[in-house]
Amino acid sequence: MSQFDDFFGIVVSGSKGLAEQTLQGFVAQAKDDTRNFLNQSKQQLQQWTTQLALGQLSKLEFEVLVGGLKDLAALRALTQAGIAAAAIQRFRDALITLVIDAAFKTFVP
Amino acid sequence: MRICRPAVPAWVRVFCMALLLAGCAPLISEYSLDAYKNATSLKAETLAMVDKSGEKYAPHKDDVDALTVKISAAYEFAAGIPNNELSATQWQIVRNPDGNLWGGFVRVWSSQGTVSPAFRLGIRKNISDAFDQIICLEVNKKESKSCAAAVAASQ
Repeated sequence: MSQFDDFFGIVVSGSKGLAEQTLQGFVAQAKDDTRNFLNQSKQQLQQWTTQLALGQLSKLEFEVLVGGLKDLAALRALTQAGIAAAAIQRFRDALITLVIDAAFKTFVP
Repeated sequence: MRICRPAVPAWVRVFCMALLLAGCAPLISEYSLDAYKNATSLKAETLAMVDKSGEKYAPHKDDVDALTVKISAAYEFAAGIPNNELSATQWQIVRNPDGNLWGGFVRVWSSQGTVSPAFRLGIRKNISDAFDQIICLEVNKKESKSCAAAVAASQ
């Protein structure tokens, strides 16, 4: 086995641990967050519809509140996209460190 | 048939691999303490203003305008940071005069003169949640954290 194969093996096995450490849990968190938001939105919509019917909310107030849920959904999507980007960036940075460390370990006596 | 392999020294291949990874552009901006402070302080200020919206709009107009300017300044600050499009878009959604968060709140209060208790309660929660999303994203640029934990730490 060549030195490069040794080096490659260290990087591959190390990157698996890195991926688990930096990327795992992200998808589960996004799913939980979305589920909570949908449940919460459903309850709010029921409440605001009742309040509109009872005259406790004006038509304009109702429109802004319901429109706010759409805006919040967009904000959440941006947050999730940012969290994913940050996690991938952390993984990439750690991978660079891993490659350099493995290279020193393998090629520098 | 023999497969020809180029005789590239191992160290060159390693160097190229590291260079390739290091050369990638950042996917997202770095954490900014100023951006974080903007979000947390403006959250408190906007919610305090919402609490006053049971009163007439006219006496509060100047304060509302000043707060709108502060939110716009926070947007400009976020938009000026490289690779920060996601956060800047979030600020844009919050401040949008035709939108349904801070902009929508001001539109209702100014056009009706006052707002109902039910609206005050609902818009308070929507605006609070909106700022929480901005805070959550900023915190996650520094370290991986659930939004609930990120927001709790900001209070």
